[in-house]
Amino acid sequence: MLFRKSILILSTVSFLLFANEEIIKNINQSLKEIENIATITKVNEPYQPYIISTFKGKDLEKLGISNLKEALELIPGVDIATDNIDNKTAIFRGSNPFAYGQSKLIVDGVEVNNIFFDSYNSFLYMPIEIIKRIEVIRGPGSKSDGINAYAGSIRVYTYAEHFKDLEKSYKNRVFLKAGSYDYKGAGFTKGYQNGDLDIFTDFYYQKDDKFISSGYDILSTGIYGDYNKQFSQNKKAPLWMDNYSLGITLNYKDFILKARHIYYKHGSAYGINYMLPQDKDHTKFLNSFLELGLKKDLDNFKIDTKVGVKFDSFYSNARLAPPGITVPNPLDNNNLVEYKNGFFGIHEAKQREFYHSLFLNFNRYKNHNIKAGYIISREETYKVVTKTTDRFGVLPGLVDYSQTYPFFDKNAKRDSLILSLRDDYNLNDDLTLRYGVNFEKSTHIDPQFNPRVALVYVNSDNIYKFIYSRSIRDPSWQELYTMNNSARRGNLNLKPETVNAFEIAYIKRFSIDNYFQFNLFYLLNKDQIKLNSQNIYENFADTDIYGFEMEYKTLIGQKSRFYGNYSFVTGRNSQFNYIPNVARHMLKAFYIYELNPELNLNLIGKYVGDKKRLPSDNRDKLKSWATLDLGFNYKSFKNRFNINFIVKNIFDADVRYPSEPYTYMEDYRQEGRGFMISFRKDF
Amino acid sequence: MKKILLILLIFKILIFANNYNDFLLKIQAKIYPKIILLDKKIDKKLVDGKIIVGIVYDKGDFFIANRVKNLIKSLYGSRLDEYEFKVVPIDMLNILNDRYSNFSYLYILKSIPDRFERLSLFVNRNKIVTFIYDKNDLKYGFLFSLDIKREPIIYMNKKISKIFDFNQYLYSIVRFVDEG
Repeated sequence: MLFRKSILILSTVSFLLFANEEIIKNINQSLKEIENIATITKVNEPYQPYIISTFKGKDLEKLGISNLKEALELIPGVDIATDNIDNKTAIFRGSNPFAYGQSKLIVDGVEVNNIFFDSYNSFLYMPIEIIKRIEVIRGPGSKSDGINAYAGSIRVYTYAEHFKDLEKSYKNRVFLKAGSYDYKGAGFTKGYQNGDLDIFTDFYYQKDDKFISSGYDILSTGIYGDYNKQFSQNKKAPLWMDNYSLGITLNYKDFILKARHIYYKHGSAYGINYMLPQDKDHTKFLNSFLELGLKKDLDNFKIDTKVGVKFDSFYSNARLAPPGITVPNPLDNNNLVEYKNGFFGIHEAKQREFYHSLFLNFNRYKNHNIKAGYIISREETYKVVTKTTDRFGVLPGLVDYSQTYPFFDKNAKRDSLILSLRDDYNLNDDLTLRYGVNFEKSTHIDPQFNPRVALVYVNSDNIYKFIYSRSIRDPSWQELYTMNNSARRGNLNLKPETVNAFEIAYIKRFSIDNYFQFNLFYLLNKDQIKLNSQNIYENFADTDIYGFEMEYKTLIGQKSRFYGNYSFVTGRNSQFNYIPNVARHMLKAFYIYELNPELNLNLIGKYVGDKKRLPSDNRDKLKSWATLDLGFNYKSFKNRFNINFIVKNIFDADVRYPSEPYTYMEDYRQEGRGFMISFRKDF
Repeated sequence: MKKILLILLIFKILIFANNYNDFLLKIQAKIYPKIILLDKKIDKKLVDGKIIVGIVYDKGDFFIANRVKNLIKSLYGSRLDEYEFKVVPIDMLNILNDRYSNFSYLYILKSIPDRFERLSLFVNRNKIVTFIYDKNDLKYGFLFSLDIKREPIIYMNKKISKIFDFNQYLYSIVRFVDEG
């Protein structure tokens, strides 16, 4: 009897011990999964080996931020620049404002910079309603998994990102928006789950009728001769937009299929040749990608492989010069040709890219997390159309110059290989070392080794980071292959721009959401690319850029939140002692005051300092500007809807982005006072 | 003047919601119930045969408490291991005024120091295991918290841990802090 009891007690005890062990194992496993998710979603961003700012879409929409571009305007050290076709781009820390591609945009893990300009303008208007999170990593320290970021990278995650362990379901919602310039927008997100199959889709459509005063166009400068000055126009530039996008993400077991198509039609802005176009003239940017991925977790080992194809095209249909303009005859410079009805053109270039990547992640060695892999790609142009008014002013209508006088090299092709290796080595609980190297080779450039070392030291809630990295920017296709164009010509002898970056950061973390960050940077840029006086792209100068950024996020009492950042940037150029077209001071802040749990009042303030011109530009420096936005957000917890109203730029500040010298002398004016109202309903 | 300040303070507590990190709420909702299963005296804490977890909130945070309840429910349903399991949002004033005290465990959202001090006296007198949202509030004498540093860390208040009895395995995964 006693024996039986002993056996029973023993077996009960061992069962309980086993059960408890299982629970501990389960907790440990959950903690590990949480750590992975925290790292992926940058919840533990202060501990990451880069300089990073993360914003959540739902916080931004509550604040009244309308799209990705407006969100980026809040990031420390980031300014926005535009050009004559209103191809906007983010400028990081005073990086070359005339070059696209110094920053990369990665949407749901897919790099979306187009091949033609290496820009991502058409994605800047993604409505905030489909964005779950935006991570902006400043500096080339952002280089990871082989993606070749130069000045910074922007990672956008839509609500397709879904962690089954922590989120019950996908975000299903519809939204409607209306605002100034007759803006109208609508869209939805919808997820579907059935066993191992998950499908998520988002769609939006938006348009506006924006025209903004341009000042006199390039003809007023006399560059095209005194006679043509009389044809210079001063009117409102067509900056209207017609834009939609459909995205689909499909997960089945270890497979992921991602696809997106974006259509972006825009008024011809300030004209391809800097001469004001007609109101309905337009450009079209089309981007599509389809990517199939496999992610497999094995013991101490992960495989991540992708194969994909991207298509993008640039299309322009516009009047390129006004009626009456007279220019030298292309065949005989001693004679002139007058285009009585104006000069018109249709230009189209279609590109595609095929790519494949394979990365292996090993964590079998204690305290090491090693990732190694490669990316191979082929980019090529497969269609070029050039139709213009008869260059000799004889034939009526448009003449097809696609074969004889194309605006772009129809044989453009580039093969690239990137090999990448890195190791995250936890030296102890407080010290992490990340080191690695990218080897990069592509058509037109010599092989490049780009190393990277980052040390993160944690002392209680104080975090210190020391980062060195090197990166390159391959010339964009516009810089390489544009031809037969008076406004810009490519150059196949361009070297890549290079940067050696040194960064130091200190972070004081008050709680999971509240922190202070201070970081210093020193960037040694070489071979910056710019148009020269003959309108040919060239490596014109080296620039040293240095400065600092401060960021502070805190709760003020129970009812309000404050976020603010200040950035300072300065430096010198190998040709002159400063960096042109860059704001030395930028200050950005927002404040959210909860009037009650459902209603809050928001203020967003931005200050961008003045910008010195190039020495060859005789204009006064571009004036600084400051804007203030005021908004309200009402959220019904019960009925799960949200209404946001915001007045932007309430004091109607004169915001301008710099124009190229001797083009639009009054620079590129931006929106004045405006409003936006948004309605979002979650299901 | 004092009266005005008092009214303002009460008004503030009644009206304004606190700010919460959604990710932290989610992971606490996932981990805290698992810790409950390591309590050796779990059987003695059942209320009508059920584990009842109270989500303690100040008035403005009712929606947050409800969200935590829904998060836990979506992860665990109405059973925690072999036990029936119920999650109930509870206004902190109701606990402090002794109107409700039948809880097996408490998960405590944000509040003001005075209330935390009173609540701490109450829970430690009644030996109620507590989980707190903000790690910084362990200092008032609550038992567990979970925070994200480079990785998630479960904190356990060493000073009051003696009055509770957990399976020894738990002590191998928590980080002890001397608070309160």
